[in-house]
Amino acid sequence: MDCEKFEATMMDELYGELDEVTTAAAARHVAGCARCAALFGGLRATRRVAAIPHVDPPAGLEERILRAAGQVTTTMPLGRRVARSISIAGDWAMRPQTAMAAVFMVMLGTSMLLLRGRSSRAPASAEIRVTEQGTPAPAAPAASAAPQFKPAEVYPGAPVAGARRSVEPKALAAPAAPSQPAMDTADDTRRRSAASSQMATSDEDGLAEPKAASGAFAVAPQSAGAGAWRPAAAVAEAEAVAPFDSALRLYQSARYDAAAHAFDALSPGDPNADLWTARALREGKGCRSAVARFDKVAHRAAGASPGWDALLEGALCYRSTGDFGNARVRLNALLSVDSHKDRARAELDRLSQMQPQAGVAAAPAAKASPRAASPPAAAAPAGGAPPY
Amino acid sequence: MIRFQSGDRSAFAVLLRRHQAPLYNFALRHLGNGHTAEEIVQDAFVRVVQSAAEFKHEARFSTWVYTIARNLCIDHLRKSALRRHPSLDAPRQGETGAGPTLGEQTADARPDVERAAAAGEIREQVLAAIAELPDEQREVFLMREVSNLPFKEISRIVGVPENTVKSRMRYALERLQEELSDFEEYARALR
Repeated sequence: MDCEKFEATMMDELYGELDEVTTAAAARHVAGCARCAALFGGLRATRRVAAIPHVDPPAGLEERILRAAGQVTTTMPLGRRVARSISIAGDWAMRPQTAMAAVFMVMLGTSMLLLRGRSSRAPASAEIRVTEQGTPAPAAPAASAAPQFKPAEVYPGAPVAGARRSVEPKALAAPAAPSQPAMDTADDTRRRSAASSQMATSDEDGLAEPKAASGAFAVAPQSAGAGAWRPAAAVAEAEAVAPFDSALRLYQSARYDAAAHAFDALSPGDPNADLWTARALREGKGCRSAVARFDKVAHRAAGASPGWDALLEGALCYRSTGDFGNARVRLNALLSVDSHKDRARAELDRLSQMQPQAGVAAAPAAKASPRAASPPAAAAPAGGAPPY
Repeated sequence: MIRFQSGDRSAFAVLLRRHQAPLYNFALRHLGNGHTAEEIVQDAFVRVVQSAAEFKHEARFSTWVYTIARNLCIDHLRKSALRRHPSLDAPRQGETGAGPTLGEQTADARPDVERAAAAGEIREQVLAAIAELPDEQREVFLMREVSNLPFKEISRIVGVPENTVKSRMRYALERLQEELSDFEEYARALR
């Protein structure tokens, strides 16, 4: 160590802040350097002489300071209190225990979230894929176009747009679309069972009076399934019956002649379409033009629902034209049909009340008709027993 | 200090007992007035309470509280209209005279009237010489000699480099050496 380095470390050496190695080097330098030894000795002697005696603070100082600090704490401004609270909270937040607890809570929460999400998932086999087809059906003009006859209300079982025109339970039970076909089947069943009861709403004018409030299964045309959610298989079937739908829309829009032609084009082999042809003829041209068609349907679909419906509606048509005999024969035939016997009995009662009043006028009409008082099935093949 | 920041008020009393005496001696020798020194120490600890939330543990508590006390002393000196000219004959306010004197520290155990008188004279001369030091040298000298703070901590309190602190300390010692040259021979004789 030379003099320059010694002077740089002299103050540290004077107050004992040097390490042992540097202290030893400084001591060796002082031992061999008279100038540095005199300089260092003079400072050390001055320090000894200038030693300042220690003075104890006044006795009451500590108490006064504590009292003043307490007052400051109680009168501390809100900002400083908030700052102090934040400081305390920050002090806790910066501790490793807090950080570890936070990490643990995050891990726990994440695990709970993942486990919950996995358990809530349904198995793949239970997933149902729904495809939207078609567009919303336009508002039905039937209310204004057909003031005297609303088939969707009068005939609760009337097919609606998009529905099947013939009910085949086997075909409806498609595995790919189990829910909607089942619903269609139920609808058709309800249509059949409700048709006989709702027919009772007809009076002297025929079938024109709606009875929406009679607990019927009233389906408005616009609620049809054109815009509804349907499985793909049901949509395909609905597309297959599009001609029937278009014919039905013609009927619902009171274009009965066009509807009759449309249904007639569909009628071969389809008693349901044939029945609707008869209905269109009744609404368009009157009961006199429709009774023959009703009889035809009753003959072709004997023993089936369209056949019973045709027989009933044909009877009502006969009654409205004053041909009480033919009406009674057809109604009597329905007394043996469980689904129609109540309605037939009621109509027979009404017929009995009406017949005395119109008996005189009805007799010539019955005589004039070549088919008077003969049920349509009476003309059935000789070998076949009439179904009613 | 961590305990005090966490809301433990008893920790403040511990801090007060530990630091009030060195702070009081520093302020007393720096300002030369006992009553003012008491106010400085009280104000310093009150500010500690007020600013406890702002204290970061990047430095020692002693560094912080000495910084506060030093700033209060500087403010007091600036506001003081009178320049301190302590008289050797005037009674020293606030100094009780207690504690070991230089004679008590350096003399032998035998009571000696002549030696005690010389020690009292030296003490007065030393205090007068310290009071005559420039403020920047006096504060460094007092922190080092009275409060026994290391140079590194003093540099943080004063806000200057450590070598500057050592230079100021050397200048203060050399000036005292010059002022106390009459007693140097006495000190050397006491070795």
